[in-house]
Amino acid sequence: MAIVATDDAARRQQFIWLGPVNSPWPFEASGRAWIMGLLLCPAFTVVAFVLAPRPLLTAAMPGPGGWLVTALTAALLGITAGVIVTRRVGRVVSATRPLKHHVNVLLMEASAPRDEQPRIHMSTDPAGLWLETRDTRVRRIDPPTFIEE
Amino acid sequence: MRLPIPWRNTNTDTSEPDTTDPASPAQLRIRAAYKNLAITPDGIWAFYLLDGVDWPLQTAERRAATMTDQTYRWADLAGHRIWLRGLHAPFPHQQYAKRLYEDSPKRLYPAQGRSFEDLVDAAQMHTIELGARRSASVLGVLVSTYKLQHPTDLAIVAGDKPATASQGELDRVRRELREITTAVARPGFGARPLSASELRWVIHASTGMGAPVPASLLHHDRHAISLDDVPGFTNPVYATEAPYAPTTVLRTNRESRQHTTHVAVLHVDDFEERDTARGDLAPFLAWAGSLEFPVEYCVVADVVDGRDLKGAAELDRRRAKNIAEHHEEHNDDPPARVLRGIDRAREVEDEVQNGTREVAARLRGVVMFAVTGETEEEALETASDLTVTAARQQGMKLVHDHGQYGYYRAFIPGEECPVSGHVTQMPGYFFASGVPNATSSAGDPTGLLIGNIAGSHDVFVFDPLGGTKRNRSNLVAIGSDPGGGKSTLGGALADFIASRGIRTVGYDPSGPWSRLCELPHLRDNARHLSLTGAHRGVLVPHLMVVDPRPGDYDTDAEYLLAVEEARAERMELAIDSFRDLLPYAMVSGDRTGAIQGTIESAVTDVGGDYGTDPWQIVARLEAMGDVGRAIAERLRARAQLKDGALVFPDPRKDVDDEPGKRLMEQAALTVITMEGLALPPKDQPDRSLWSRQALASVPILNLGARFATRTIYADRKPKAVLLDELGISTGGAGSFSSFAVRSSFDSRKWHALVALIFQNPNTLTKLDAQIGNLIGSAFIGRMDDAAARDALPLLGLRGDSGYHEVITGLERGEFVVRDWRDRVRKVYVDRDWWDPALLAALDTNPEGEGTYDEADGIFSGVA
Repeated sequence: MAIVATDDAARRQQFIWLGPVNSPWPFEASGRAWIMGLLLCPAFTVVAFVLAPRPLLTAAMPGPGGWLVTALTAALLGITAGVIVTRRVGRVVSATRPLKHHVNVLLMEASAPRDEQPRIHMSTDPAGLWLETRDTRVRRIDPPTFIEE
Repeated sequence: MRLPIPWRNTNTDTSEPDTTDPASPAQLRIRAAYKNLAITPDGIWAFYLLDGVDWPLQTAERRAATMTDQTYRWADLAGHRIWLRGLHAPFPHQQYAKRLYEDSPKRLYPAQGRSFEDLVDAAQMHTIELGARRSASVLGVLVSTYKLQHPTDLAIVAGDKPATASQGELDRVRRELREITTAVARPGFGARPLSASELRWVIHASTGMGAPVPASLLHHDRHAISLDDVPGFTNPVYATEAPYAPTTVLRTNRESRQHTTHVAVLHVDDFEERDTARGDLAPFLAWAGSLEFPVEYCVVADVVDGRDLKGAAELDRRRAKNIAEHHEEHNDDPPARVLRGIDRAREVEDEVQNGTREVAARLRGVVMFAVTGETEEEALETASDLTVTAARQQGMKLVHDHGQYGYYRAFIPGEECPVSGHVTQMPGYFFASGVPNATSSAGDPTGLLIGNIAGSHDVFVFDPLGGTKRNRSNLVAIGSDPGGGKSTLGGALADFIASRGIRTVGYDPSGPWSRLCELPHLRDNARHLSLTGAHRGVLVPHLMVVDPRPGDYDTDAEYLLAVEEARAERMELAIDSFRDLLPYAMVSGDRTGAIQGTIESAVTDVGGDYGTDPWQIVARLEAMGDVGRAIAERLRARAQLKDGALVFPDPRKDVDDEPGKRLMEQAALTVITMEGLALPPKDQPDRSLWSRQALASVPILNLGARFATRTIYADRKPKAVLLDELGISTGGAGSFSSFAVRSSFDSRKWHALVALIFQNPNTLTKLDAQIGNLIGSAFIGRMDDAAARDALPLLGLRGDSGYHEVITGLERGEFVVRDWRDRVRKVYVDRDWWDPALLAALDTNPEGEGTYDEADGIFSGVA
């Protein structure tokens, strides 16, 4: 067994839904991207509907016409935003860096030492030695408690 | 007003530090530790140090056996999470120097020139300048997820006695720990539990990555320590990170000095297929230690029993198959990637379902490499170099991800490792090809600093008496083509040993080593002895093998046997010497063996007692018919010549052993030369092509070497004899075999280094096929193809191993070295730190030597 390999070739397969031949996206994308897109589109539509200048539209077109235009505009904007966001996310999400990894990295970066961390006093030996503690983006790694024998 | 840039580590606050705010609650996850055990929120971790396995210049079979062993070891750990860490530590120059100094109580105190202390200092300084470092592999195993209530329970877990009935869970953990400790100690890993001090070192080296770990933080003998014992256990490390910064900045205070280090962690995103039979493909983990810049690695993975992956493997296969079918439904060819996935998924499914335990076992986790730099730019540049090198040399795709602070923390024992991305699943046999503990280190803890070991940043240290200390042969062979550096190395060894105050005798017929006697630091303790100018009878054959002393043997029977052996060897030497003193035409025409037989009869009739007068043998020959008279007549004629007179004393006087006794009294360096003697050509083994003068010198050269080797038996104190090959090879096959066997055993028994310096390995290997087993160490320099093949047995390597190409490709000053433990490495003999006076004394290059530039004149234009 001179040639050896990892199992990654088998495990990192992604199902790509193929659309009609010669069709651009969104017909060729992974299943997860489809789901994300479907979920994001209505979400963005609701957001667009809420943010749309309804008083302006209803004033211009009183009655159900204004509401209909608002709804159509919101749906158009929502679907467009969903498509754009899904495509952007699809580029960085891969078998080795799934979505949960991006979320995890985001959380790690958010919890890393930052400016707002409190200033700390460094214990030094000999005591009283002045050390550069001016940078507040520091966090001390405290020692574990080693038990006596 | 200057606005802060959020993605840069800016620091514009210059006020005095505020010492009143409380410390941040961030802590190490290790809450308590005892010996090699540590409690973390995950459970109980056990840490082990993997023993090094020999890798460079090993046979393919040996390497395959190592990988097979490691495959079994990973399978043994199924069901546990592992944390594998590769670190490096600076060469311990302080311990090296201290031990060398203490091991040399009789060192010379010269009035002028370099002292022994200067030598030790220079060697230390040079290791520091070289940045010499050694690699180590630490394995952590999550023994149990059981949450210990009391840290003191660790002592029960680590103990040999079973826990009480009320401590059933503790006893289960204890048994689990014993099983793991036994498993990792088996071949392949040879691991032993880390001591508390070593665990502290690993934590220090990991938290303050890139900064030195002062010994003052580790000087504690107890198995466990408290915070009070070590003020500032991690004293103090400050990790700094800007949002989405490419590196983590560590400011580490060590012994009142602050070190700033930027750490960049890279993930292995993908592994290509590996051909484990390729001799030039280094193990992908140990490879990190061979790079020119320091690289550390960390692997965090769950070892999974293959049986637990049956469902997942089946799903992978079906999914891949379904993807291919989907492409076909659309009249599209499935991508090659998908087809490869199907093939691999089928293999994986078969292995986890039907394979043996070790074939089925898988490791699932992340593999990370870390590089450091004093600035962010330097760290990123190094990371870039590492990425390119990893792709080219190892087929590994490295990626540099965000979340650097979290990944830096994963390098610290017991810390949590984010395993959300870059997750790889590899069979145990694939991970075994990483061989984390493949080591390039070799040599001795103390001795002469030789130089860098190829493929690592370690240095080779050679203890001239290392064979004796390991209770094995202290015979060392040093060989190379002319100009390969063998005489220089031999001379440096002689200088080093003599500087330690150890009696050293160098036998150099051609004479360059005599300049060593003029070195300022050796001048008062050295003597140059030119045998060609010595008085008559200094090389009487029966004086060259000394009588054994009763006190050196355990029993009378052993002593009597040694006496008989010495008598027999004297007679053999006398026969060889008398035959070689005769004209070559006379001996080579002796087809019936009459001459040889007559000499043998005469010598054996006279006997082999110490100090037997060679004239007695001549007289006996004269009484043995025409052949005997002819031989005696020739020998009498030869005794009138300058060289023959060395073998035959004045007929009117008794045999005088005074020169030999004086040799024994020498305390430091004695160089014996044969100036004025026509030396045989070293590259021409066929004696029929030698000149008459060269043939005449044969017995004298051989007896001169015997004269030098008498030193071995002077006493049981350390001593060294360095011999040129001419002195040995001229003795003939029988004489050489007995010399080799005797030197192999006696060098150990009499605490002596016997160094054999040769040009053509044929002279050794053809005289005695077993020479490879008889020598304890060897230095082989540059040679041509045929000679390199002959030299392989001296290195303990097989003739068909293909490593002769390594020898033919050596540069001047490079040697393939077999150390006292039979580890073979390519080593560069570094002369940069040598004493200038020593360098000048050993310089054998002709004056006016220069180098040619192949491009000379090409771009100088037409005159």
